[in-house]
This record gives sequence, structure tokens and C-alpha cells, in this order.
Amino acid sequence: MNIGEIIRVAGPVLDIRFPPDAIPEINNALLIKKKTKSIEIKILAEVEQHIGKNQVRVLALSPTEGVMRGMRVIDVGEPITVPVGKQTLGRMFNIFGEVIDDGPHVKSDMYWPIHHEPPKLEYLKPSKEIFETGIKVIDLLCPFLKGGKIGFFGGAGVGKTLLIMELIHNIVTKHGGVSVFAGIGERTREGNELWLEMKRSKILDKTVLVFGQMSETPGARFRVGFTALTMAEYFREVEKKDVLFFIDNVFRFVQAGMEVSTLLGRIPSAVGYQPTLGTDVGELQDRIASTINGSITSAQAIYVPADDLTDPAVATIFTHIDSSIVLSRQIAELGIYPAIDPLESSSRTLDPLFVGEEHCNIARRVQEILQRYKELQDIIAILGYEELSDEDKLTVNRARRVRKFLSQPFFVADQFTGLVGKYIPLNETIEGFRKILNGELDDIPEEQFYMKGTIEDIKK
Amino acid sequence: MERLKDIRKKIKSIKRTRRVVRTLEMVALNQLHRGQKKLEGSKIYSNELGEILYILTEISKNGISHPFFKINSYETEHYKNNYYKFNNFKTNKSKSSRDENNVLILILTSDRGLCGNYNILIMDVLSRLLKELKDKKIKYLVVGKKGSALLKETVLKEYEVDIPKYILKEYFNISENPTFEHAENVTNDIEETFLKKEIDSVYIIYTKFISVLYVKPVFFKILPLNIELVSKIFAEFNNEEKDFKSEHFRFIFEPSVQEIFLDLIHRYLVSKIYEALVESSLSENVFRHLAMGKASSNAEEIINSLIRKYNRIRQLNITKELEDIIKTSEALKEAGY
Repeated sequence: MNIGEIIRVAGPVLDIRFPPDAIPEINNALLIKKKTKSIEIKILAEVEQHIGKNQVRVLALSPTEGVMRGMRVIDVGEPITVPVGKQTLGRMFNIFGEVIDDGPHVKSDMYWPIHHEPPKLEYLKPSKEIFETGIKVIDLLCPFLKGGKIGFFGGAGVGKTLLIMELIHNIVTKHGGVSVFAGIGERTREGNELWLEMKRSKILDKTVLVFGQMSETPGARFRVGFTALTMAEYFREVEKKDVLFFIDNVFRFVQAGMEVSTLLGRIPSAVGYQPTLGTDVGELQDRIASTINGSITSAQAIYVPADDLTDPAVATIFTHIDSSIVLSRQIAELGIYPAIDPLESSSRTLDPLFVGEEHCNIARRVQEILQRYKELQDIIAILGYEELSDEDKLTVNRARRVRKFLSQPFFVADQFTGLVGKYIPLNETIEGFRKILNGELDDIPEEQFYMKGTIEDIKK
Repeated sequence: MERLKDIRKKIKSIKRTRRVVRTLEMVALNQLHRGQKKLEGSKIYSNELGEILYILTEISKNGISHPFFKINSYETEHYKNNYYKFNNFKTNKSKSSRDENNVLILILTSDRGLCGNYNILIMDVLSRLLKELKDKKIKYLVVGKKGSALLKETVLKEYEVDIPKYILKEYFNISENPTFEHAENVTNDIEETFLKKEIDSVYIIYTKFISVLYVKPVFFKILPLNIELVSKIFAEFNNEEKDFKSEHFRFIFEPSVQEIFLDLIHRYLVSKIYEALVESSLSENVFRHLAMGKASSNAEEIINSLIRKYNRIRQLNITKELEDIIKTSEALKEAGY
């Protein structure tokens, strides 16, 4: 057992000196333990850098109050390990793999380190199977594949978490495999609500919940995603199952890294982000992959600071996502929920190869008509609606119907809307939009399209 | 957040629109001034015409007849009321609908758009008139492309292929600058169909020009005419009492009162329609002036808010960049570079 000594404390970042022949490896866990009459300290930390002179720079994963220079530090000899396996189903964990749901301790015969290499290229397996969500705007405009990544980008309070919850409601209940939920840096209350909701809809016993919420240290928020991912990887590699992996919120992971970056001695990059932004995001995202053994389909919420999609963190995460769903404040202000921006959102899956000619065609036409409407809005604002040509008036009318029809009541939002949620099969979604675009519903008042499921709901 | 370049492009495009809109506003104002002079001229003419007509009727009471006339005390009252209170058009159906089953409506609208709800208001008046003329066969004469299009897509929509049957004739490129010839053409068409007994009465819908600040779309019946009415209207417009029995008004008519009368009636109709055309054209310019004024202030507002947004984002970017530079230099200092 290698033992070192703390020589510097700077918030969550510690410098520790080890004997010259016993320097711990990067990512190894270190244990700081001390018990006196008044306090008991037990801190796990993770080696981040070798900074020379037999010193390592480590990131503490628990609060560092009470840590002093000269304290003894034990090198565990391996990264943090967390329990994996069937025993984890239905339970709630923190970053160290300790249960936090007041239940009995999880005894597992397998503990996996939270850090390891992403799957090799030759083991990756792309899929062509479309994942139906029952949410019109997602199914139509940003469909995603089994084993793909779907990202919900949005500023504060536009409904990212609600969308994730609805997605869990709609697909976990039908999904045969297991689900893993990683709560990173969001409200503790939301974790509680999710837990209760899952209990109520009886999907908890197929789910693993891992939380490192906003009350925890940056270290914990930085690494908790890996804990959840490791548990998901077990189901993929060993149980060979199809796994649903939810993350709320990936931006908090980046933010935690940013909080400690300068303390670790790195020079800040654009907008104050860590210079290792791309690496940090890549380390996490690269492991969320589907292999020949099984698939991990992930849905991730990404907070967009100041509604600025060009923010470096958001832009970096963007590149990893197959199906980007952008939530927009303007649309939320119109009262249209889910507040998905149909023009900003995109999916590489929206291609005749994956979804077929008709779906692709209707989706493109929906985007075209909404784009045209957006262009006409300036003219309407200046000259008034009456000055539009007849053709443009028709476009505007249909576009407004399309926009309203993109809304739908959510199961998880019934206490807000007072409406029972709707699950809309993909073919009915396509049929509905086809009818609007072809003008078959021109004589139905616009308001009728608001918060409706299928065309049949409107005609009722 | 939009990129600065995009906002700049948008500002530029809206500025272009504003320029166009402002020009249109100015042109409308200019035409308004010119049109007013035209209207004054035509008023003098129609007043004189009315005076002569009045004299003729005074001199030869009941001695003249014309297919355009119909003497009926009720109609007189009705017409007169109608002329002054265009909107309180209340008819006693049993009486007025007696033998006027085929109605022609002349609608004066504009050829070009960009004049606010000018044409829409005319259509509102039309639908009000149509309510009054329920159960009658109605045909149309339309001046102006916009009115023709609106008519086809609203009132006549259900007839689709039969539209030509309902619109007897359309007159385009008149509304901008109506001339006396135009009025004469329209009047000739009306008279022709009327004399062929294809129609029993003619209504006109146009926008009355009361002042530069107040115009109002109205309708009234121009045919059949009512001789008493013509003279009465004239008498009421003419404030000063004139003694038509006096020496001063003792004329000799050649070839005969009847023949002169026939000619004058035609002229009278032409002048009425000309007046309506000119007033419509004036009103159109009033609407256009207002609409373009509103549009240019709308554009102004959008430009201002875009400029504010642009400046805010620009400032924010500068702040961010400064922050980055300072942070980095501090971090470098600490690291001992």
C-alpha cells in the first residue's frame, strides 16, 4: 500500500507527494481517512495529473473541509469501482456506487472500475432500426435510431427535463431491456420526483438510478456520469441487453470540469471553459456506444447557457449527437409544448434510407412551410397580413396549423395541462401532417389543432 | 443567439423595405393632392348639371319621360334617406322588391394592394348590401383587380366555373387615374344592359371621400333614377334660394325639352360615376397613405429593436473576449509563465 502526504489544498484540488517509486497512476483512487474526537473524514479522490517532483494533483470527490497539509493519503491502486449486475436494478446510487435510497447495501460479486477504454471500432455496430417515441415532433422531424444518441438542447425552463421524463414514460414501459438514469448536477427534487414516478409506473425494477446532483462537489458531478455509464455497460457487455441510458444534464458535467480546470493548473480557453473540453466530452460520449453485444440508446438533456447554441460546451456536445432536438424559448412563449424548434432541430436519420420516402418527404415539407412562414413574418409585421399574395396567405394558414399541431399533451405533464397524455404512432403522425400540408383541413379553425394527438382528436 | 452578421443582413433588408414603403407613402400623398383638384372640378360640373336638370323638371313638370325613371313616392323617400344615411338602409321588402329582381352591382376597388383594408371594407359593405338584396338575382361590374379577386374568392366562391356569368365585365387600370372616358365607358355598359331589360336596378358601391382624414365605403342605388329626387338633392345641396320662375331662368329649348333631357340624363349618370371613381381613387390613396405610414413606422420599430439587439450582442461579445483575455493572463501569471 503506497502512502503519500498532502502538501497543498485548494478547494477540491489537492497536491500530494508520494515516495519516488510509488507514484499512483492517473485515475487511481486515493483515500484520505482521519478520525478525531470531533470529526471523521473519509474522502475519495482521483488522480488527475502528475506534476513532477514526485507530486500528483488529485480531484477530491467529496467535500474537503477539514483536510490539512501533512495528512496521510492511501493509494487504492485502482480507479473507483462500483457494483454492477442485476442487484443494481431498482436501486439508487451515488458516484461511489453506494446506495442512497435508504435500502439495504448492495452486495454484488462484481465491481467494475469507472474508467476504461471506449469500445474498439471493430466492436461497434450501427443499427438501422427507428425508435418510435410517440412524440409527434420528434418522430416526424428528428427520428432516432436504436443505439443512437438523442440530445435535448434548451435554455433554462423550456422543458428539457419534462421531455426526458415523457420519453422515459413512453419508451421504458414498452422497452424490453433495462434503463439507466444519470442525474448530473440538476435539482435533487427532480431526482426524487423521477424515483417516485418510476415506482408509480412500475418501471423502477428495470431501472438503475445514479445521482450526483447540484449540491455535490464538482468532482462528484464530473465523475458521476461514468459511474452510471459503467453500470449500463455491464448490461450491454455481459447481459447482452439493449440499454436505455438517460443523462440529465450533460452540460453540468462540462460545467463541473470547468469549475476545477483552473485549480488543476490549466489555462482557461474560450468563455472560461477548460482547454480539455473536447477530451472531457469525448471520454464520456465515446463510451456511450452500441457494440456487437448489445446497444446503448441514450437520451441526453443539454442545458444551453443564455440560449446561445454557439456556446463552446454546447457546440462540442452537439457533434456527438445523432438527433439534436433544440428547445426554443420563442416557441415556449407561444405556449406550444413540447417547445421544440422544428427548424433548428435536426437528425442525421431523417433520410429516405432510414425512414422511407414518404416520411422524409412530409418532414421536409413541414420544415419548408415553416421556413417560408418565418420569412413572411417580417412582411406581415411591416405591411400586415392583408398584403400577402393568396398563395402566401395559404402558406401562412397551413404553417400556423402545422405549428399548432406539433404540440401535444404529455403524460408526465397532466398536472400542468389538465389534459391526458397522448401516444401517437408514427404512421398517424405522418398522415396528420400530410393532410394539413395538402390543405384537406383548411376549413378547421386553427385553435383546434392545439394540444391534440391525432387528426381524429381534432375532428371530434 | 443569432450571429451578428445575420442581424446586420436583416437590418439591411428591412431598411430596403422601409425605403420602398416610404416612397409609396409619398406617392400616395402626391396623388391625393392631385385627385382633390380633380374632384373639385367635377363637383362644379355636376352642380351645374344638376341645376339645369332641376330647371328642366321645374319647367316641364310631368311632361317628360325616360326609361331610367320611375316615379314612386316611396322610392323617393327611400332613395333620399339612403343617400344621407348609407348605413341605416332599411327597406320595406314588400314594397321595394316589387319588380327589381335583377340587380346589377357596380363595385369600385383598387388595382394594386398595399392600401390597408381599403378593399376589405368595400367587401364588407357588399355583404351588407347582399343581405338587403336577398332572393334576388345579382350580377356584378367590377372596377379594380383586387375587388375582382376578392369577389371571386368570397361571394362567388361556390359558383366556381360559372363566375363569368355573374361578373358581366371587369375594368382594370382605371382606379389609379380615372378619366371621364372611363366613366363614360362604364356608364354606357350600364345603360346598355339596363335598356335591354336584363337588369331592373343598379347599385354602386364605392368609397366616399369626405375629407383626407375621413373616408367611408358606401352604397347607393343609381338606377332607376327618380326625377323628384334628382331635383330635391340638387335643391338641398344648393343653399341659396333661387326663383326659377323668374325672368332670369326663362329659357328657350331647342330642339325640345325632352331631347335635351335625354342627353342630360346620360351626362348626369356619367358625372355621378365619374365622381364615384374619383372619390374611390382618392380614398384609395388615403388608405395607402395611412397604411404605408403605419408600415414605415412598423419597419422603423423592427429596425430599432434589431439595432438594440445587435449592439447588445456586440457588447456582450466584447465583454466575453475581454474576460477571456484577463482570465488567461491571470492564470498564466499564476502558473509562472
